[in-house]
Amino acid sequence: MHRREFLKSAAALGLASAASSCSRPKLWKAAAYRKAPQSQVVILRAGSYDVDLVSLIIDGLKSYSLVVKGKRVLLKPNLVEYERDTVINTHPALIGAAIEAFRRQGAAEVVVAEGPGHRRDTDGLLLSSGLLPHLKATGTEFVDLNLDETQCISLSSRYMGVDSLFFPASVLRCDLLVSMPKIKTHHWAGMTLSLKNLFGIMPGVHYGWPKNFLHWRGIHESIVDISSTVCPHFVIADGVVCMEGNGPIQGKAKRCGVLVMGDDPVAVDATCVRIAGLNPEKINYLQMASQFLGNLEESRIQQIGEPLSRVMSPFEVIEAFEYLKS
Amino acid sequence: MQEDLLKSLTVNQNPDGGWGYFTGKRSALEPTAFSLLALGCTPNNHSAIDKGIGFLKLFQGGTGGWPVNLVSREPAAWVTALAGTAIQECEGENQQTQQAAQFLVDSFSRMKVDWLTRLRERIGWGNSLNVDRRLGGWGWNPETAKWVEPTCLSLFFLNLVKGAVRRPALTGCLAEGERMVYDRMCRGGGWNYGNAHVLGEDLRPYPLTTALALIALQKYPSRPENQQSLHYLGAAAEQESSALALCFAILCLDLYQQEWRSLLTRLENLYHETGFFGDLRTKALALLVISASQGRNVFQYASA
Repeated sequence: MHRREFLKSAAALGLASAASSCSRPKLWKAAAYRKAPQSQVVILRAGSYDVDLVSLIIDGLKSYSLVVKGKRVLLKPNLVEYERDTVINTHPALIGAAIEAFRRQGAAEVVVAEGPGHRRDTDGLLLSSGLLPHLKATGTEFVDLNLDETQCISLSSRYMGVDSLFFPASVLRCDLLVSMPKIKTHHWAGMTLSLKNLFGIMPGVHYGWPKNFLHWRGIHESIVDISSTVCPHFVIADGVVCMEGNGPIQGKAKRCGVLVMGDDPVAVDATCVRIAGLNPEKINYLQMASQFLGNLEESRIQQIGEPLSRVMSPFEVIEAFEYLKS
Repeated sequence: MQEDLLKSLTVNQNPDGGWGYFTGKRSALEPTAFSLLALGCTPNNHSAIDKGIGFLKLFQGGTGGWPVNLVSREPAAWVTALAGTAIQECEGENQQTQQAAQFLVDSFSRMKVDWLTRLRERIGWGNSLNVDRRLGGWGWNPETAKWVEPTCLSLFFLNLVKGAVRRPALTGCLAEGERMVYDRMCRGGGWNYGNAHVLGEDLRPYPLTTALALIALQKYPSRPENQQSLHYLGAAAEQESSALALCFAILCLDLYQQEWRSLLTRLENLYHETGFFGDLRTKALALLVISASQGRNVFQYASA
């Protein structure tokens, strides 16, 4: 059996398992169910990071009934590590624009928070990634979620097989959790988007660097259990320049020129996968999350702004994920 | 800078005797251990040290290990190594350090390989990680993979106390752990946080992980791997923007008697630019760098 055939079989088994889980006892608590009959996803053109990103984000926010005024907003970008000429991180200009946009919408407090997955020297990442000037210019606090105070919280679903995990106090305290992923391929999960981005909220001080405990419990399962417990209220996905190939670190830049936003993270992630020319229904964690967290099916997602067909731009993927193309 | 840093540690000690990562935050083991090491290198801190050591002794678990903070009960090898090092430095070898060493010996383990991985390797896909799975070490959490940083912190501490615990088991852990760290070295020198090679791609080394590995392997200064990695570290430290990583890099270069004085200026500049983002752990490490500049490096086996 070849590697590719084996992975196809494994994927098929995973999907079959996900499908058959409909007839098994539910793995999520009733209170975790938040799937609406229909979701909206906004796709807006952003040719570069020099355009008026603040206005674009405000346009996106206005498409939803999200109440921002008076709220404590926590922006969770994807900051992994910095290497010149790579596109690993959510672009700092977009993070700066999001800070400004939420402030203009009346947020009582905006903080940027991340717990980088691999490296403990977050201070260097703030300096080298170019984020620090945006934080200083706006007087915005940064919270290193790897080192934040923690609280043990009962999980809202039980795919990993554990009852509870430690979550950072800053995430538990915020009113609006905004996931700001970079649209990237991922060599273990297929693609990393707003839900996978939540790995970064898990405190390294408890789960290590790179949060290996979660990998051992199953990446897809961990993503769903974390997301069901602290589901993002809004997503702003950086699709201006994405990453294809061997992501999430060693892949190549892929220019798509879009921002993808929405209040259903499953629907936003599914849309991003479709933009990449891949099939979201074949990504296990999206399939699982679609049972109770949000909408995956194209028919249940109303696209606002640019039509999907106009922004689709097929991504290269590593051999192990070729099956996502069908 | 020294006065500022010392003051910051002194005023930020919590009433329970420990330190949090940042001002006003609950005590955690890692910043407490580094703060104690730093205060131990400067005179007239007896009261703060006694309170800090009291905190550590109070929270050591029955198995000899420490949890990462006060909301967790599960002991972790990496903070146990740090807490043990702090006690060893402040009080010398005692019951607590012996129990900590025993905990580390007991928690030394080899990577579990699941059936799918065994199957993949059996049908000829090879070892995608390119590591010797037979070599044990320490993980961030029990029952997970072994990583460079927790393994190196554990090796360092066990080298300090190796007279204390059951000798055959300890020497076995040390020898195998050291082999494991060498096995993970990146092509061209230096260490990544995990493997050196994944899915056909070489991974890059980092200054922080490389410094920790070289500190743990300081008994073998002339080995080609150490020399190659030292060469990488010297060059990488010049560009390093993390004060945390820079502190470890300097302490490591000092151990290997490499020139590092220009890096101290860089560290001072980072302090003036960022205040180390208020991270008390980094402030403590910067004090250890200053101590090294005065001739006392706590990461030197003979010194600690």
